[in-house]
Amino acid sequence: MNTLFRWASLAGAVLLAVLMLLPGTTEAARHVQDHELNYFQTSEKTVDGRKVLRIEIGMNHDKLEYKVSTKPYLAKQLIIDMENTVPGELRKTITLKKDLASRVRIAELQRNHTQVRIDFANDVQEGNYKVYTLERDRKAKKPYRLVIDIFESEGGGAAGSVGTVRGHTIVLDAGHGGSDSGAVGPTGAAEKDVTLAVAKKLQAILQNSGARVVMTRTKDVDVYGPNSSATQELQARCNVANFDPSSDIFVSIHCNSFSNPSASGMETYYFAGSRQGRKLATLLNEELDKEMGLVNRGVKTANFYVIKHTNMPSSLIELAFISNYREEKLLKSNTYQQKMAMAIARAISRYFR
Amino acid sequence: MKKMKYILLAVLALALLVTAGCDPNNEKGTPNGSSASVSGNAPVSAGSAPSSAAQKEPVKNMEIKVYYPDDQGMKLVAVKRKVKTNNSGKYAAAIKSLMEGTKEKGQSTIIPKQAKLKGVTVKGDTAYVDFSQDLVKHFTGGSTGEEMLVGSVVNTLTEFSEIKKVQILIEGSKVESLGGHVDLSVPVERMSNLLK
Repeated sequence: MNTLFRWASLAGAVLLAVLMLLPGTTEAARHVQDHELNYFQTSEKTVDGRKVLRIEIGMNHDKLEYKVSTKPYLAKQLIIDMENTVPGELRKTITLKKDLASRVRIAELQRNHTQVRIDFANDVQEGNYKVYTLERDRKAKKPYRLVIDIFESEGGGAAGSVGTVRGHTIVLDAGHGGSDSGAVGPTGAAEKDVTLAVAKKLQAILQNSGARVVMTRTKDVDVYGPNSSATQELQARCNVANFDPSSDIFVSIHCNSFSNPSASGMETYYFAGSRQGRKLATLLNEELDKEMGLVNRGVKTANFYVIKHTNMPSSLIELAFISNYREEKLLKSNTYQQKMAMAIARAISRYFR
Repeated sequence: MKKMKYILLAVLALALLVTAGCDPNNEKGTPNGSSASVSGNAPVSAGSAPSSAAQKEPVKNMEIKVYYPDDQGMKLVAVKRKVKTNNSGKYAAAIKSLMEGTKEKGQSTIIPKQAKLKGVTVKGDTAYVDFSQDLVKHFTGGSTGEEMLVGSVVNTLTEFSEIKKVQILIEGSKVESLGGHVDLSVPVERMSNLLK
């Protein structure tokens, strides 16, 4: 009886010891797996004509688990949460003297949970950044690392911004595209390229200002689907706006052309009878006139398909004459495209004021 | 057998050529050359209704008005032309006269010279004017060019008081637009906002 008790208590003690040790060993094992940050590097380069700021945060182990998020009230901040990670020797606040991001902050929020916050120069938007990991590169003397690529807004350059458009949905129609080059200038500039460039710059400004922007096209394509015919191209553009229940306004961007190359100037159109359309066309005309100072051909009404068949206030802009040698030059210029986009953005801002 | 086919084809083609050349409506439909820029022997069969009734109609000198855009494409300018035609051929005659173009100072030609008129028919108060695909293919103009082209055709035809609306067709079919701006899916009324 006595020996039996002794044996039993011994077994119990051993079992207890093992049980007590077990979490300790798993804890210890997990601790080995912890990532400790030990490397920080930034670099700038250009990919496909777009400036990119690359931030690399290196660590001692691979297989990092991380989560990328944003907060609606911190539009310019990208947040990356990393489990089983400690900040190590890295500084808590790293100031970047870069165009695309100003600061990186690293903090251990809870034990083994580290958060990286990056302050962007512009609003954080899908397509404007990329987060991924890269394996250790012995040649370059770089450890396994988390990479954050921040891209310049698609319009090129740091996009400007305007007030009062936040929360509004603006449909932008870059005239022509794909099989339809639109008008072609004396030195070969195609209307479809100019309209897309201006629309993209305008998109960047408006998004940067908090507006929702819907584009009828973002590439050199026909808007109608592969199963419809070319005769439905203009209706397809209207459908983009009409099928979106929150569309507030529709703005179609064009370059003018005429058989006589001396014809010149800017004009804006609305569909007769639309009061709000007239207001929009008038504001667009005023801002473009102020910015560009070209011959002002006026605010006009016309039987144009896209302003007639869209269900919301709409305007069609003729920026300048691509058939006019002097104005073709302006339309091709990146600087002038940006100026025109900014002028249109200001007009849209005034419209919602 | 194969040879026979070719001979038959050749005979057919010859027959077509001969009949086209003989079309009396064609001769009557062309302008009489009173204006400097009018040439009177375009070999296109553009008559509205080359029926026997039309042939019997008396041919007379008619004064018509055609419209050309100004140099800046801001407004349309009315130009008087004289054409030798009959009552049913006058619509096609007017459009053909318009298509001759202009060399006058302060006026521009906007209809591409490659475009051909396929015919004008009238139903009720609407004129259906049918052009060849070349009108779309060779059109060079933005909003202004298209507005001026459509305006010149519509206003030239609505000069005839019985015509209130014009439907432009390409190869017999309706189109959304010529160059991506003006809505041509429905008939267009006289564009008086383009007149001086």
